[in-house]
Amino acid sequence: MTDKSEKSANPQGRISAGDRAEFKDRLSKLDDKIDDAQGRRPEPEPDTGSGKAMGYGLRMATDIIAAILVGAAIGWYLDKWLGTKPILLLIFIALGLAAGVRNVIRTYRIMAEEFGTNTGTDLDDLSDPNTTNDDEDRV
Amino acid sequence: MASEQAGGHGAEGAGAHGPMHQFEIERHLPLEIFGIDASFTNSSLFMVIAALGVSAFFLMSTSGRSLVPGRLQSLAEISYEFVANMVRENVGTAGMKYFPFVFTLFIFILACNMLGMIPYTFTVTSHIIVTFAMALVVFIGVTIVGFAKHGIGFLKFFVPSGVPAILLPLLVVIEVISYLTRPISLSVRLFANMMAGHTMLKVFGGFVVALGAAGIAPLAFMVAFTGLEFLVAFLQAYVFAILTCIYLNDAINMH
Repeated sequence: MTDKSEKSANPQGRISAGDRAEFKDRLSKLDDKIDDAQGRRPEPEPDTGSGKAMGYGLRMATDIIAAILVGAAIGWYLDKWLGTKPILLLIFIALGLAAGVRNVIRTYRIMAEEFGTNTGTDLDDLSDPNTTNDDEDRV
Repeated sequence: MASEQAGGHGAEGAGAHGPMHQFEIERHLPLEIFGIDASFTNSSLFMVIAALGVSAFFLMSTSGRSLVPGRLQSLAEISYEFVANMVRENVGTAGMKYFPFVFTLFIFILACNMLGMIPYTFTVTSHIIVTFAMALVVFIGVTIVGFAKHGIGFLKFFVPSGVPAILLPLLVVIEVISYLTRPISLSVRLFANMMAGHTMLKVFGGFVVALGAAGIAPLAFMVAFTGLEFLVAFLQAYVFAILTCIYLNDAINMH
């Protein structure tokens, strides 16, 4: 009964080795239980209602327009700053359009993944070699 | 959030009771601080109403805290779970740290949109300065989170992997433009939808009066359109919140 003697020897509340082992054991059991409970948390089911689809539609429409506007604004200010009047504006409008299309492809990938209906496979083929493949794959 | 839009300029409406009249800013309490017009306007008033209404709702609905929720409490629980699932689904559990921010944003926009659906009220979110201020908070906040989490490595976010070296400069520019687009598209989407919808309602309301007995046709349309507007009011708040989550996910998990 070394526990007892140690306990009485240390009234400050020091914990004996046996107690500590038991404690650790209980803690790991609790950890297992928590992990188990968290594993049992049901995966949130994707809501494939029409509301969500409409949300995606609204996103894509504004994404293209906003990207072109941002490109045009950058080009216009760079032109004003560097004195190269129309050139950079034109270049950056084109770049803005590219960025907009990139946004839409990105949104599309998330959408296809979520709805589970990967209808437009040609879009994936098109963007695979150039751009990153898995920067949209969120878990 | 109420104070950041205190200094809106008076929007020029088309006549006293044209369809754009509803968007005009009126100063209730003129106030000027260091040359900045910080008057308490009708816009500020409705922001305060929205904030107070939401606070009152959640204080009331969570005061009971019964095991079997009543009507109010289950409404509060549903909204909590809706946003919590949204954050967990899009950002992962690491993102739950930012749940209060996303929840506040979602509920405030939702309250403003829904408040605007009541006749004679002012729709705060139909002004781009309001939506842009909120989008800018999200944009700057997310950028700070990204740099705080990954340091200078966050810049790798703009460099797509697996690209030939010749194309890289071009793609980096495109990625940067795509990143800068976020606050614009976020704010324009919300503001344009709210403003267009409310203008449409007013225009068709004018038709009902002008057409007399034949006004029954636009009236029927108005009824259906009002329903659609409620859907849009909810959807826009939802899209704003979910995009905040997606941007947060980009910043935290670097996808």
